[in-house]
Amino acid sequence: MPPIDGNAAAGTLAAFFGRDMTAAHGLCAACDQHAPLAEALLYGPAAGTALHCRTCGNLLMTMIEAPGGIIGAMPGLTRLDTRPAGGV
Amino acid sequence: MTATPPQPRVNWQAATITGTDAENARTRTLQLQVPGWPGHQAGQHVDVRLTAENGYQATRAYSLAGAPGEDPALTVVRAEGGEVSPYLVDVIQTGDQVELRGPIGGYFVWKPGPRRRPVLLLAGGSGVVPLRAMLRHRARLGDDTPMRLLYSVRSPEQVIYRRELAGQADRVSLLYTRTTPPGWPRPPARLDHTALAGQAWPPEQAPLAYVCGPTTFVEHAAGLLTDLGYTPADVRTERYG
Amino acid sequence: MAVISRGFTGRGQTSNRLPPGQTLTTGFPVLTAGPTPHVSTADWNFTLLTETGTEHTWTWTELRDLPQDSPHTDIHCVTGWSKFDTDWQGVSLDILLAEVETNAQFAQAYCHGGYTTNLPLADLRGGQAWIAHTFDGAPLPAEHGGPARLLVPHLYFWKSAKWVQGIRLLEHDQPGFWERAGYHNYGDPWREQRYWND
Ligand SMILES: Cc1cc2nc3c(=O)[nH]c(=O)nc-3n(C[C@H](O)[C@H](O)[C@H](O)COP(=O)(O)OP(=O)(O)OC[C@H]3O[C@@H](n4cnc5c(N)ncnc54)[C@H](O)[C@@H]3O)c2cc1C
Ligand SMILES: [Zn+2]
Repeated sequence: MPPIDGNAAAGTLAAFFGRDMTAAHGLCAACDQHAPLAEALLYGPAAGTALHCRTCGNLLMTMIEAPGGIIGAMPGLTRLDTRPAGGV
Repeated sequence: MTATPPQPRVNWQAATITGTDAENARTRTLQLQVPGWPGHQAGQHVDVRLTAENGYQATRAYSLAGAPGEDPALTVVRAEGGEVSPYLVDVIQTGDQVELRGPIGGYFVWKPGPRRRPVLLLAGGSGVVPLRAMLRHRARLGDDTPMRLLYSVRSPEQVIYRRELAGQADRVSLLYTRTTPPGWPRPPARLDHTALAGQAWPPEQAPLAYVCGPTTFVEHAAGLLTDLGYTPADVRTERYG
Repeated sequence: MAVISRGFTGRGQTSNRLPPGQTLTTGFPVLTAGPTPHVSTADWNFTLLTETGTEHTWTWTELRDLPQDSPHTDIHCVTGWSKFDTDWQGVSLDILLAEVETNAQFAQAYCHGGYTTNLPLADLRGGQAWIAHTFDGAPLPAEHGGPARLLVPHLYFWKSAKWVQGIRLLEHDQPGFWERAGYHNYGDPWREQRYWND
């Protein structure tokens, strides 16, 4: 299956952070790409949600929806900025 | 400073089907009633979760078809052999319930901006749904942002919102890829550079583009826009898979 | 309690052969958290890397020349579906592990595309695990992990790593992709070990 946009993970992201995160900008730990999470690559369906950097493919973030909450990890993000346009 | 958008609903909520409208042979619009619906922005979607009697669950994303201020509605196209869409198109009835999470998404959304940047909407198949919400939003507001929809669809039978779109012929162009209505000026063809260049706002006008539909369509159309000189950051995409 | 959507069945059914919290499917859902690698059998090989740094590698032809097994088994995915009576062919890890000297307690499978998963080495022994290259009598398709995947059906199916490239034998446990992300380190479906602290 070809990847879709990080935007499709908006629901899981919102459930995890309690706010919209698709417009938030993340900094990729591998290549320094600074982009909205909506533009990340989302492969699936999978056992959880995995967002990859569109530029270099690095795994940015994972989320697992479990009963009662979400288990998240951000192994490939060195910064996440929710200000409009990521403060640019 | 703009007001903070309403915070997304992050918990699953019961939604009741209050009405259904057939758009074409494989497409149905579902009207929903959601207690305490907070309103949404044009382009947002919801996650829909279905639970079978044995507890089995399936979740899919569906765009909100109506304009902000209208009741939540979804327009679903049947994917043959799919798990969720055939149920929503053929089986679910008024009075039945699903669960929703949303409205969600703050990226693939449009609202009039102070600069009235022209907006190009590029739809492939069911990708027309959130773009229709943007057109309706503009119309309901009486807003004068230049906006144009280019809707790529296989055949006349597969057009969604046919009557509504026909009423806005000045800002909507249909592009048939397999079969056309009789006497149609353009033979069936995939969206290409020429067709796009003839419709798209020139890059000098600082246009925004929203591209939505099947992944292959979105990649192709976004590539053509970049070739035309559109700034990648101003081309927002939503791949349906 | 979730709202029931009347008349929705999805691809699921029930049966008492199911571990807790699972429903039965007749399809074979494709789950992948990354790009699908396409590896030709000519380029494929499989490596066992021991804790002392010794490597043993088999080419595709060498693997196919080893004695083959035909496991018939049920599989259980952590997302909630199970599939009964699946038919595979492959080489038992017992045969491969017999070729290396190791005192390791743990194993981590690594794959084309970067996926990893970990398990106790004991779970790869005793006729419980295979390098599988055939499903339902046909070469394993790329979307299901072909040319070959690890098959460890007594654990949740994310442990049955697709596109397997090799297995590291380790003195210390090293969590893999989903184990780090929050799924259970061991993943026994019969004890419903789904999440890291279950
Ligand atoms: C943000 C977003 C918004 C969206 N908005 C809309 C919208 O407004 N309207 C709309 O119609 N769609 C929309 N979609 C697409 C929608 O989410 C679904 O992907 C679509 O309805 C298909 O789902 P399904 O369950 O019917 O098909 P799936 O079960 O997901 O299958 C998709 C296709 O693959 C095949 N398939 C997959 N797995 C199997 C299997 N195990 N066995 C057999 N066949 C299989 C099916 O035959 C089917 O054709 C949106 C997607 C996103 C990401
Ligand atoms: Zn990167």
